[in-house]
Amino acid sequence: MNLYEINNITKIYGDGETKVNALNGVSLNIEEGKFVVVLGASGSGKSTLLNILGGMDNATSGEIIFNGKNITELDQRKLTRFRKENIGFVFQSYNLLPNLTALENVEFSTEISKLPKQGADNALAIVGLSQRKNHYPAELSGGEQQRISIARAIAKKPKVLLCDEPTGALDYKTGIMVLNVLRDINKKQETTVVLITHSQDIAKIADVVIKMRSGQILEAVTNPTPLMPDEVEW
Amino acid sequence: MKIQNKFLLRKIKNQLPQLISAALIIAIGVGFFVTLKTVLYQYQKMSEIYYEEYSLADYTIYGVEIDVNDVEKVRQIDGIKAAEGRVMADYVSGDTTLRTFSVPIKEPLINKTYFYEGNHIKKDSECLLLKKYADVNELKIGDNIELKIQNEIHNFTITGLVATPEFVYLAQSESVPMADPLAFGVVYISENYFKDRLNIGYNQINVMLHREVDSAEVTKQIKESLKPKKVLYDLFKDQQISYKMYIEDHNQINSFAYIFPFIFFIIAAMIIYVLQKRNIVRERKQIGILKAMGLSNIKIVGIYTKYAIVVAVLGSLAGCLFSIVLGDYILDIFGEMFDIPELIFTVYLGLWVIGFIIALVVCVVSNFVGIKKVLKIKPAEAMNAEKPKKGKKILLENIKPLWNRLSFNTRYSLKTSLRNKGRFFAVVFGMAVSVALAVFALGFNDSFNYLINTHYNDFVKYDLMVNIKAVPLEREIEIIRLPGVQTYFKSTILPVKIEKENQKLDYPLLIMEDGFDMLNLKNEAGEKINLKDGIALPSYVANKLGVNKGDKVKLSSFGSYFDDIEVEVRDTTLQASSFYIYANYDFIEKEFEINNMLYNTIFIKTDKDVKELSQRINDGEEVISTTSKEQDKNTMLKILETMSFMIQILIIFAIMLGIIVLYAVGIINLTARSYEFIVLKVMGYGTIDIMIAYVKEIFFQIVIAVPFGFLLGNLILQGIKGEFSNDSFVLIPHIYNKSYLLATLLLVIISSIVLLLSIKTINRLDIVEGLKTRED
Repeated sequence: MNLYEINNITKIYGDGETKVNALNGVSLNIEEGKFVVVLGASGSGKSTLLNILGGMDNATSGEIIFNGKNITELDQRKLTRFRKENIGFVFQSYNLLPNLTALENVEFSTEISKLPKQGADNALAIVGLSQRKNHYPAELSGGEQQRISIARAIAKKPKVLLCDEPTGALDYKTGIMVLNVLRDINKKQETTVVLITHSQDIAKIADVVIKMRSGQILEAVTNPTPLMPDEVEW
Repeated sequence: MKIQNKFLLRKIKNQLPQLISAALIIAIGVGFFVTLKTVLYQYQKMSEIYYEEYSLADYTIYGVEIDVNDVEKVRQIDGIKAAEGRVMADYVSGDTTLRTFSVPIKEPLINKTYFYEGNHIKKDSECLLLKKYADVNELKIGDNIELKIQNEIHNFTITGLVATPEFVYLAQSESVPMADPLAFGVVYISENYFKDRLNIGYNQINVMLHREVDSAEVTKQIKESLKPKKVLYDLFKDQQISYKMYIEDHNQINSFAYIFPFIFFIIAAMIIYVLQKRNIVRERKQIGILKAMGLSNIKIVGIYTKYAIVVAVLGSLAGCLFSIVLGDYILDIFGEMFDIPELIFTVYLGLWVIGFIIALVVCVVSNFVGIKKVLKIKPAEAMNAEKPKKGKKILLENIKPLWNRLSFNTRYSLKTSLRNKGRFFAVVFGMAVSVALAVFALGFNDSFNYLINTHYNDFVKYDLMVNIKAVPLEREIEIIRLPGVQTYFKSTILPVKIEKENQKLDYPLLIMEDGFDMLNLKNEAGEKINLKDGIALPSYVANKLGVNKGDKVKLSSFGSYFDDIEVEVRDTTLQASSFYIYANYDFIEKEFEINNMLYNTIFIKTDKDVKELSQRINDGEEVISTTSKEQDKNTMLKILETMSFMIQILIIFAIMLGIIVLYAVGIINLTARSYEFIVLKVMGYGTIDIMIAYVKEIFFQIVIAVPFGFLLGNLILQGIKGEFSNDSFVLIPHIYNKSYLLATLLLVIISSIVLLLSIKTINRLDIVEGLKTRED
């Protein structure tokens, strides 16, 4: 079953001389429960696509059907609700709230979604950081911060986890650890994961690999034998 | 606790300096407002209680040869609650003048005395003395005082030290509404003493009216009942000098309590707006994260609104608490200036609530205007660093020979200043506001000094003004032959009513001889005033009455000196105080058909010692009293004492506010620029180089801010001048150069302090962490 049906979306930034076509007629389907990797170089439009999928930005044209509902027609208020109920974000630069401890960062997510607080503890346990829950982001390593960021994203039990280069700022070992967590969540909780990266090697862990260039999809390939994160090197 | 609230509390903790400065700005506005309103309420409440409990006369009629029967007739008129006859006379006691009133052996019903110490008189040889006079003249109960009555010395023993609602302000006369207690006091001696020993009858009747009566009708009946007697003039309570001064002061404190907190709140609102706008720019990414997590716009705005509420709560609480200390202090000072018993500080919780509500509205509204951009931020955009602003050449760059000669450091500071205009002008605005507040507060003080200086140096030209018993104009009295009298002019001063349509005002009419030069009477064109076939009015009075040159006004005199008559306003005079209606004898004699003109005042210029001459003049048989220019000046300073004290408080508040504004804007600017400084450090720029560029930037900002501050300060001063002009003086906005200089110096000093703080901050910047967590 398709979680996303994306039909011919475009995204244009600026106008006149500064006009940039970030997405240029992108169409694709994302199946529920899959681990999808969007692969492309800088400026290929992958982050723009992720933002639009997550309701963080609006497409200039085209439509996105999420779970049978056209989200391109939603106003800002409804998009906020859409994000709250369905989407978990993981960013390259973690984007934790510096004034809150690890646990509070995660609890904030459950609080916004009006879910029980225990979800935050469980999420921290899933990413293996229960013992670091009372530390502030500044007291955590990059890998720990990213795992807290994942815990924050999954605590509200989203339908889809959108990850923008989650290993981009991490060393190899920590990167593998983070990918393992994401893979586990995808498999054990059946949460759809869309991960963007420019690394061909990371793409090897995906069920589906979507290659992008200049705002267009070059190909969408199903990977019959995805590797385990521990098996890839970059 | 909800995480949202924890988030807010941690945000507050991390931005404590900004929060404290914003709260202090609010505290100053609320503090000023609550203090002044509390002082006003308490002053008003205690005064009104005093006037009520001690029965200040509603109406007083002055006449001659009034007897007990006349008083009884008045008492019988419908609407009269009480009526009492009384003797009032000024007698000399040593070097001082004592206004002497008769009191019955049983305590009076009207204009009662409040006893600080002692008891009411029991014998004719006893007296009550005003405590204010007794204190400065070191007199106490049991002491004797001497009164020179009808050229004989009479002794009285003091049995009580008192206050009276008639003399809350020690008003000697219209021209000396706040006398020096060293030279003027009030004494009460028995009615019998006047009657039996001195053979002096009543010369006034004090009246209390029932509340609901038509006072005009009742007073008409009173005058009718006294018709065969000579009634000189009458006064309603609101015309009584001390009461009038109380109302004027009350109105001025009220104006202070509204105008200045209003200005402070406007400035506070603008500063909170700037602070929050900068906060939004700085916290853009956090806002993006919150939005990405699904937090709605309303909830995000809610977090910032709660922040504003915290500022309002802390600010108003601090302001209210501060008002206890300041209010108590102000009332203590008031207690020394005015004679109101039991004038003590009380907290008015209602005012605290009003102060809080105003602070809340100011904070929430300015906060919302500052952060409304939050609503438009898209999370996807907020996640990325803000695009650098499009580079643009500044004007100076086009002047190549000049631009190329500038050092990199100067070019950098110039371009940085003008690239981020929002930030640059936020600081310029903060500086301009601080300068404006200082210019305005110092200028307010200057305006009063200017008033005193111009009035007593340029306008008043006489040295002594002598009030005498009225004598025919052609008669010369002895005192003008005293050595030291250089030149003199005779004149007549009469209390009159001037009327134009429904507007009726009481001012003295000054009738003078030709060539009178004791007052520098000039019109707006700087020419000598024209009194031919008409009168002249001070511009202030003309404006109040709504008349121009050539208009007709009605003059009516008390005591039937002349009948009501219409006269033409021939000219207006420019003057700041001592308001008279001016006319010359020729016109008055002709217009009012008076053949036996009397004069009651002599203006004197002397080249000798004024005090010595004054003492010799006082010995003259016809002389009632003498006032010197110096005494008048001191009186004026006394009148301005309340205002002057309030201005000092205002200056302190304004300067404090200016400092906090600069500090707040400086802190936010510094925080917003830490990344820029880190990048400069990475490039190898040392703290000194950064500071030099920063100093240059601040210099540009000061150069722009100072003229705007001057202009704004002037505009505020011009805007409030009407509120601070009354029958005693007109506020003429005038700012001395030293005030402009002081305001600029203050700005430079505070900016230097912020700069010094910056060195510490720049030195402490962690390059690695700073680059990693740019927007956290």
